Amino acid sequence: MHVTKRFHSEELELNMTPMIDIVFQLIIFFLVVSEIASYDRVENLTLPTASEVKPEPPMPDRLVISVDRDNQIIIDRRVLNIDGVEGYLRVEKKRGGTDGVARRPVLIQGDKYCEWSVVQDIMEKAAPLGFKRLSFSARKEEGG
Amino acid sequence: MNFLRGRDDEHMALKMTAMIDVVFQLLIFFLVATKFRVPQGELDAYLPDEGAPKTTQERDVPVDELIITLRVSQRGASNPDAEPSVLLDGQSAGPTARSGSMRWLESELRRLAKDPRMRENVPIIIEAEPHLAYQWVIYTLNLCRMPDIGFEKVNFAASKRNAPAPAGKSPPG
Repeated sequence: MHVTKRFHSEELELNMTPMIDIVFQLIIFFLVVSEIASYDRVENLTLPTASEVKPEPPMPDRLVISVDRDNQIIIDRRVLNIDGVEGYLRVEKKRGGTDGVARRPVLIQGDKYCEWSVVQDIMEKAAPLGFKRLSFSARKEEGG
Repeated sequence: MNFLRGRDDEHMALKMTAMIDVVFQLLIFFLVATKFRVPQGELDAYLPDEGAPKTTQERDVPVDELIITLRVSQRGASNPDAEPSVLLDGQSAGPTARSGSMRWLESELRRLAKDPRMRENVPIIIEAEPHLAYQWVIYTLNLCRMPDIGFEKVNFAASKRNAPAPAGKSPPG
């Protein structure tokens, strides 16, 4: 009985403040260090590394073309063949501008082991359609 | 005074339970929904203008262009991590140099880049074999962009598989 009485005593109230502090710290940490499953990421894609990469500028209108390890071309989570890519780019160009210049910058993110010819094909479809701004995605390599 | 005493009363303790529930929910959400950000960036490349006249104006440079040819090496056929063999301007290095390696290319580019006329005016054309692993093209592009090399114009050779140059095709429709 004595125990129960102590249990109900007000002195036993937990001091939550440090725990809440830590939990908030954790939340802030995860907010900063993470990105929520992003729109343009493809699973199982190992980017090549490069030392001179520039940080990706925030370009919401950018067209991301991924090439995975099996040389499949993926746009918007759909697997396309090279003709499909050409059709896609053509539609994008029509949407782009009146002066026949495709406005959207293109980002090619290829797996480090994909064949160069696949990327080359994409570039050769994109260039005549007026997609001029192109960049390749790479992982930042520390040092040089 | 009465008011102050009321504040010190023990009954004023905040009820944290609900807030802690919500905060834990947030914590679990971020734990589950996140991926760690890879330190990722991009290398710029520019596609050539269609039909734009080649500006072969008078340039006070020793060569018109530098062609870097990358070929799948013997080991590279089975191992995509094996370095390709490199030819610069169609010519491999002399017998003394470590011909064909990426390290050789790097030192060669560094030597050529000492001349600012080369760096600013001479375009580099990267011509890679179709079956070469993409990482080596990026590696070469990265080499050209290194701060102490810094070639400004880097292009890619068109493939020879598509017989008519794609720049000459007129898009139907």
